[in-house]
Amino acid sequence: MKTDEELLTLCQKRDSHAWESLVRRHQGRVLTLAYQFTGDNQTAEDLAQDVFVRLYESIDMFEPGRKFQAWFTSLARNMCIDHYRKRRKDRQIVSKPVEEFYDLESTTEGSDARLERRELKQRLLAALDSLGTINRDAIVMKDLQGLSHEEMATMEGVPIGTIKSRVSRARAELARVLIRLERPQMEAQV
Amino acid sequence: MICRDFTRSLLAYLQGEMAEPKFGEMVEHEATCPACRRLVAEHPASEPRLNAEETGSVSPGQTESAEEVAQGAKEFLTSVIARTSGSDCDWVSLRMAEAMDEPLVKESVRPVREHLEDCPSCRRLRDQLNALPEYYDALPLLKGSQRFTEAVLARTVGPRPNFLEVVRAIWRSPGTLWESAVACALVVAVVFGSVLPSFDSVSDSVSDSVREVAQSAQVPTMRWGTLASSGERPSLLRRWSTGAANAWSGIETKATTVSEWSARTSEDIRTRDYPGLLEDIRVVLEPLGLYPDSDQKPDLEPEAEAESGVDSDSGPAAH
Repeated sequence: MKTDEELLTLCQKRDSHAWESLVRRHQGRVLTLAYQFTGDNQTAEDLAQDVFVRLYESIDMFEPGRKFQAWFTSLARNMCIDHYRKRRKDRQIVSKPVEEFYDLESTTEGSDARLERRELKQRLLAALDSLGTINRDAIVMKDLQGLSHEEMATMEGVPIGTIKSRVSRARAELARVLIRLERPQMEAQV
Repeated sequence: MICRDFTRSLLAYLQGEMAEPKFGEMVEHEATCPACRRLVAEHPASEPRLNAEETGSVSPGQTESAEEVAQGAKEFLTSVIARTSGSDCDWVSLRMAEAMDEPLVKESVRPVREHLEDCPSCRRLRDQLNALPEYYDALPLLKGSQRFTEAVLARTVGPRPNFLEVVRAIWRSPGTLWESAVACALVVAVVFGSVLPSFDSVSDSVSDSVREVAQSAQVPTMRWGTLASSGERPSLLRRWSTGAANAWSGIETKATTVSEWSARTSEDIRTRDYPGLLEDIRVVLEPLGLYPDSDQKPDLEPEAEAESGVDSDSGPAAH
C-alpha cells in the first residue's frame, strides 16, 4: 500500500486514481474533525468537502520530505477554525434556552444507554458551541483528535507551555459550561 | 503570551486587578521568562517576592543558566501557590485540568486537596472534569461514504464518467474499439457458448415446426384458398409452407453436407491422409471453378514417397 506522501506525489502529476485513494483514506478523519467543530452532520460534510477541495488546490505547495499527516491536519484545522469563527458571528447559541439542546421526544426511543449517550452528545455539543475559538480548538485538537502538546505547539508555532495552559483553561471552561447545562435538567427532574 | 503583552498588563497584574484566564497566563509567563521576572522584581508596584536573585542563587547582573532558570521558575511557582492556594478557585481548577494529562507537581497537590475539602463548587468541577472522557466518547466518529467521495471527486477532478460516456470514448478511439469488440466476443463465447443450442437441435426444432405447418395446411376445414384434399390447386398457405419446408430441407442438407465434409477433412488431417484431404478440397472447389488443373495442382505424393523411402529427386519438389 502506498504511503500518503507517495500518493500525494502522484496527485501532483494529476493522477486521479491516487487522488481518489487519498480522499477515501482520510475522509473519515476529516469528517469527524469537521463534525467536532460544527456539531452538525450536513455542515460537517460541506466543510469536509471544502477541506479536500482546498487540499487539491494546494497539492503543488506540498514540499517533499514533509509529513503529509501533520500538513493536512493543520490545513483542515485552520479551515475548521475559520468556519467556526464565521459561524460564531452569525449565531446566538448562548441565548438559546437550554431545553432546545435536548430532544425530549426522543426519550421514548431506544435503550437507556442509547438515550444517555444521545443526551451526553447533545450537551457536549452545546457546551462546545459556547466556547471561544481558542478553547474549542484546544479541546478538539487535544482531547478529541488526540494530538500531543508538542504536535499542537509545532502546528501553532507557540511554546508547549502556552498549549498546556490553553488546554487546561479550555477544559475548566468546558466543565463549568457543562455544569450550567446540567443544572436545569436536574432541577426539572426534582 | 509574549513579553510585550506581559509588560502592558504588568501594573494591573501587580495590583491584583486581573481576572482569569489572563491572570494565569501572566503567572505562567513570569514563571518561564527571566527577563519579565526581573521586570516584576524591579517594578515599584511590586510586592516583595521570592525570586532567583533574592534567594542568592544568582547574583545581580549575572546571566542565568537553563538549570538556574528552571530552578527559579520552580521556586516562583511555589511562592505563587503559597500565596493563592485555598483562596483561588480558578487556580485550583487549572491544576485539576492539568492533572488530566500528567500528575501535579508535588508542591501543588497539598494545596489543591485542602482547597477541595472546603470548596463544594470545585469538587463539583472536579467531578465534571473526570466525566469529560465519557462526554467525549458520546461524540460519533464519522465514516466516509461513496456519496461523499463522489462529491469530492466531482468538485476536484470532475465527475466520474458514466457508462455511455465510456462507450462514447471507446467509439472515438478505433484501436480501443476493436480491442473492446474482440473482448466482448470472447466474453460472449465463454459465457454463453455452453448454453447456446447446438445446430442439430435448432435444425430439428425448425424442421418439426415447418412440418407441422405443412400438415396443418392440409386440414379440410380450412376455408381460404382451394383445399388441397380436393385435388385442385394447392392453397396459398400450403404452397408457402411446402416451399419453406423444401428450402429448409435444402439448407439442412447443405449444412449436414458441410458438417460431414468438415468432419472428414478433420479426420484426414488427423490421420495425415493428404491425398484424401486433397480429394475433399477438390470436391468443394471444383464445382466453383476454383480448383487448379491437374498440371497445376500441388502434389503431395513426394512427401509420402519420401516417407516410404523413395528418392524425392525423381518427382517435383513438394513444399
